[in-house]
Amino acid sequence: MQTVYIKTELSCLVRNKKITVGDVCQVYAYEEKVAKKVREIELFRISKQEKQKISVSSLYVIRHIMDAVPDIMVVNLGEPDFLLEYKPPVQEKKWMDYLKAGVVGMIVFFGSAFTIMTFNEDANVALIFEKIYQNTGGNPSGNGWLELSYAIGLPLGILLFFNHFASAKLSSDPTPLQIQMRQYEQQEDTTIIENAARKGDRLE
Amino acid sequence: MTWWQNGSFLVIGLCGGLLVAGGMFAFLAMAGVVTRLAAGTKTAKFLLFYEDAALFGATVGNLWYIYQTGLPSGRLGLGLYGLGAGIFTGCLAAALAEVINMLPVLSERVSLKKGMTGIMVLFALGKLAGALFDLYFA
Repeated sequence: MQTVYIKTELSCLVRNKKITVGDVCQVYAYEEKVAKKVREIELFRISKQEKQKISVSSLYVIRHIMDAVPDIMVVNLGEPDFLLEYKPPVQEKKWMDYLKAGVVGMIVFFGSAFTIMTFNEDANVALIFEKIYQNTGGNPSGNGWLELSYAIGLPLGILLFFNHFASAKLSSDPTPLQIQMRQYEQQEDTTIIENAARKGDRLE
Repeated sequence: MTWWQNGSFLVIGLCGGLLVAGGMFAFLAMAGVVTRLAAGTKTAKFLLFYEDAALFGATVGNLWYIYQTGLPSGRLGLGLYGLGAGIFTGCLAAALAEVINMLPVLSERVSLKKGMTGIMVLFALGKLAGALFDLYFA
């Protein structure tokens, strides 16, 4: 009796319609030929051409492996349930992506311009500058040094926070938005899996 | 003004700007507006570009507020600014309501089973009505 270890990721992308065990998880066994055999076991076939997300229980995968290869033990080290994302192998429109990125970029650009202006107005930054000038014994209208350094400090702060400028990263850590993005995608996947479980259309 | 006054202005302004930017963008990142827009349009690979857009937007908006300079952009520029700022603010309002778990808690209390989409539409319509009232009648 041989042990086969499989490791499933929360979501995996497939482009071919015939889905094998090797497409959805990593497989390890002491004898490579057993692992190879397991990888080639067919799980199911996608019937529709359109892109779709299918929620699969790891028990479904284990059952198929045990049915196909008798006398082995399967251990899953990955997710108990995972999402299978099928995308047909067609060329995606590149220009569409750039168009969308342009529109979102515009929204973010004007949006953050607006947000910082509402903040400055709300916090009454101009008045605070005036008070600082006055209380340091100078002319209340100031000499522009505070304004200048504030205007320099703000982009510096954003650079520090986002941790990069264009593609030149300040350090190799991911940026806060990349972390947020990853978290959002994980939550999205878990929600789809749980919804599917509740409706009973998970592959068990 | 003496040199030490100017020096302290420089330090105060620089540190103020740094911390304001840090706080503001931590807040925006937490609300998840940009990530949600990227997820909605499936353009997560342009995330770094969006961060640059936020950086330049905030810098330009800040300069504009501080120096109150003219920015001859015409109606088109004004329209783009209004549209972009409006969409962003709308996303921010919805994202904030979501981050503080207002809708889930509320719907749990009244044991709401259906109609979440309708509630979101009403949420948006309410914002629209409020904005119109504030801008044109109040």
